[in-house]
Amino acid sequence: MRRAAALGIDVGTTAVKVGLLFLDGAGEMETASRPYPTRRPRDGWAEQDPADWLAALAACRAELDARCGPVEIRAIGVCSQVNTHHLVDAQLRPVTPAITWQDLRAAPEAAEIDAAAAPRRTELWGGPFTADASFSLSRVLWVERHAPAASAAARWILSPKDHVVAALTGEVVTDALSPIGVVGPGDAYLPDVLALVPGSARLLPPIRPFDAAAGATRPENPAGLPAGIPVSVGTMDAWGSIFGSGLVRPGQAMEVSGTSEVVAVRSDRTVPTPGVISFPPVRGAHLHAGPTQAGGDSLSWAARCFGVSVPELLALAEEGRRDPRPLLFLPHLAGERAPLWNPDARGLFLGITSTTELRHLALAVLEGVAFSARRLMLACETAAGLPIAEVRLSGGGSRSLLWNRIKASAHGRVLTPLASPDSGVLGAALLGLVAAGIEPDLDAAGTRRVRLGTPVEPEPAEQPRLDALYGLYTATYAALEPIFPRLVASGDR
Amino acid sequence: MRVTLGVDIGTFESKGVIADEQGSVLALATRPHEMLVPQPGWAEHRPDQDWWGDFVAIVRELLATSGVDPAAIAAVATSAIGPCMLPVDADGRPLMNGVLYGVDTRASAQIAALNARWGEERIVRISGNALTSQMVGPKILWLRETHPELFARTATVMSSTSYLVLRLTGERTIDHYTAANYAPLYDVAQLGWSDELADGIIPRDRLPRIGWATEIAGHVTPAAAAETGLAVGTPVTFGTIDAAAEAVSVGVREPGEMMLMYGSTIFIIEVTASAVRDPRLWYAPWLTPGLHASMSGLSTSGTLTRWFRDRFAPDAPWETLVAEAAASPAGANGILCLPHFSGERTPIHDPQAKGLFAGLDLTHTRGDLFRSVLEGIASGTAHVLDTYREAGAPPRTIFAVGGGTKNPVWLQATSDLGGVPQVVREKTVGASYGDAFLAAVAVGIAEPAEIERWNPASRRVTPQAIPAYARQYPLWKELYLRTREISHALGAGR
Repeated sequence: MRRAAALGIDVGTTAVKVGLLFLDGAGEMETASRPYPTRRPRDGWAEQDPADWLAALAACRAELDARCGPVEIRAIGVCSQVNTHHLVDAQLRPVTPAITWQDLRAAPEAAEIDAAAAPRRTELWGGPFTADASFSLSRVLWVERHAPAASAAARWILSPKDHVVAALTGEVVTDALSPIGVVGPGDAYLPDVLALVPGSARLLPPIRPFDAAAGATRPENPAGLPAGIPVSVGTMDAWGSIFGSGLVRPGQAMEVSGTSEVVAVRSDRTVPTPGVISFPPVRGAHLHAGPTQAGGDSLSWAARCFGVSVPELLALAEEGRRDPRPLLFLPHLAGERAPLWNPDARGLFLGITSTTELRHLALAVLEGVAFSARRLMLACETAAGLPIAEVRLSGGGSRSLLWNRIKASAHGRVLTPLASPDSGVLGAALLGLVAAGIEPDLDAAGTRRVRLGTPVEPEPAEQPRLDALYGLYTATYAALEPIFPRLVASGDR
Repeated sequence: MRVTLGVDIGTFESKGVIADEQGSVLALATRPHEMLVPQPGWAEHRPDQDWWGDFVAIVRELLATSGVDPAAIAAVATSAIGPCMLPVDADGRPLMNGVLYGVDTRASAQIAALNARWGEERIVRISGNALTSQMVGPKILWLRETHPELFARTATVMSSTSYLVLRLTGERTIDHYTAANYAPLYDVAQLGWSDELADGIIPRDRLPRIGWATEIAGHVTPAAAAETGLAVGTPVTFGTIDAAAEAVSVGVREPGEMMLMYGSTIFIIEVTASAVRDPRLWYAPWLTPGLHASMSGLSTSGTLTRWFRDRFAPDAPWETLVAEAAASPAGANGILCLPHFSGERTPIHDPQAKGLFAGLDLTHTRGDLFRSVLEGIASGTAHVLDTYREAGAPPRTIFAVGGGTKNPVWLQATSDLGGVPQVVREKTVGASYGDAFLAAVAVGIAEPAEIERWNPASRRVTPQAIPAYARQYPLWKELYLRTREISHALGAGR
């Protein structure tokens, strides 16, 4: 008999990840991943080809087929990067490339929209929203001005996961979380905001609940899936990770270790806190979250400068723990996002002496990234207005037990890694299960289907050292904050 | 033909040279030796093995390879790491190993006690220098307090060069430049030993006779002649400390002329017309009467470039790293490096200062980091040059010397950040060549100005105005001030 499974799809920034969540076990998941390129045809541009996403999806599915044998897929869920947009025509054919969240081409249009909105910002958005180059309406206006033919042919503006859903089911829908800045109370589009760019309203897909079924797979779909499988509406990847981490109760938190560190805490209340993104309550759940800027990216950078691989960097750091030195690393290698939100911040090593070895520098890099996550989690905890009781760890970085230990000691908290580190894929699969009616709701699905690994405790020998170092870490940022803008510009020729 | 012979004893290597009247090198010889570290913070040489033993072996080799008739040697001059502290008995026999210069920190308790007794201000006023591990006075007090039986047998406290002169001539002498490092025993106003702060340390009759480095201290004895192969009666100069001899070798002789030595650390000597009194700079009379010297140094230099290479590029040749640094634009794409990997000496004198890289971003490469290291040391050098300007002794001409002068990126960054041209000389033999020249001056073979002919300039580095440096140098200074307390809080480090 074929094993029953749900298929989770996460269209990420650099790769698509696909997972088969088996329904007969306790949350066992098999995953596959395929990367795709980001093209940068001009300074500040960053494009992807929607066809690449679908090709990568098909390749992942083929790999899983080969690895797992015959499987009966009963549900499909999707999540993806957001603030990545492309326009399609009425036949769902792309008329523009996907303009990713990193793409800055629409900055002039954004500035124009933002200036127009500035006098009634609070009235429009209910808070301090800023229209930037990644805002959907900035992109709509850019296409209208710079690619009039595409603009004329366009029927919909889609997120990557909307594109996948449409390709699988023929249905064009989106959820209320992904279209950032254009959706308000009651999960409805904000008409006054849409009016800032006339003609934009007709491009936006209808909003449906993220865990509802958008439709069922059609016979000739690009993933080669059987017809008739329910496909969820889906949502943004950060929320996919939240669902996949099984945050079902107030006081539960997650940390996703990818190119950056993403932290989210679930609560039943909101204490407005600078630097933390507090989402409007979703079905009673208050989520407080934020991404740092360079997590795994810091490791890749250090490995490159040291002339080693990332696994070798981790091995060096492990050696460094045998005779640790008082050494600090600020990981703000591309500015910093949550909770500091300082694009001028830069990285730093401090405390080097003549006997400092690469192993000590490697350890400092890992500890610095861990401190940036500690700082973020403390801010999210403040926003949650209650103590964090449990932290669940996922993402590629959580595969390293060493790094998990360093983080547990740096946070001074027990960290529990997921059995399968791809929380976004797992969250997508859970969305599919709810959409298919196999699970009654996401909390039930999270409670039943999220499998945990062995909890990682803070190390008594390391925690006092890291606590003391964390105090100097925050002091160093404070000492340098006033000169970061001058530092950034200092090397210009 | 008349020739002169110079020998220099370094920390890890000794070197000797025979030069003719035109300054041509007729023979060159080297000998390695060890630095003994009996316990952390102590550093010693064995006087009869590492100093005299090296000297004898080198002179014998020089005579053999050059074929020079010992009688043709008009004078011998020596220099050595220093100042050192070596007690000898009435027969001139060493009572212990030679205690090395500032790398030996055994007398810190004695420094604290002397400062408490006399006050730092008074010590600086009389002896021209604050008490540091470089100074010999506290080390003599250490000997007296911890080894009273040895102290009781001490007839004279010698330095390293002094001991070579003693073995050669039987004379117990020292030059003014070295003696000034005997604080608080030397009086810079009187140019001689002083009793004012000597109470409880040592009476002046147990210190060597002081003279100038260009004077003859004595003549080779029959015993020394038998050992070395030198001719009996060959004149021997007072000698001096290696850094001063190195400065002589690259042409430093008139006020405003400065040696910038890119060695394992940066060491700087400027000759001045009057004594520079600035607590951030070190003082000594120069090698000839009427001139003065103002010294300074960074705690790292070659040690830091080596630190970087050993960690970031252990398998790459230097040329690769230098090429990578050259490919990074001036300003290292925005990285700033504080080179305080071993604390820092001039001008901040902060042993607790720490190394730092700031301004790091995801685009940076190993080449950017190495360039920032070179520019960090160059900024430290610029900071020292500013200190000389503030002290009223701006350098007029800078003679660059040492291994770092082979690195064009470093040399140019130093001129650009310091706002000064640098001259590199043809011959890079070092202190022993300066000794040979000093010997020639002492017996009238050469006039001081003739160093220009002995060792002509080969390269000139011209400073350029770099906009990135104009922005970065003030930030570099501010970075230290902003992170100083944190560096101290990070602890003594290791």
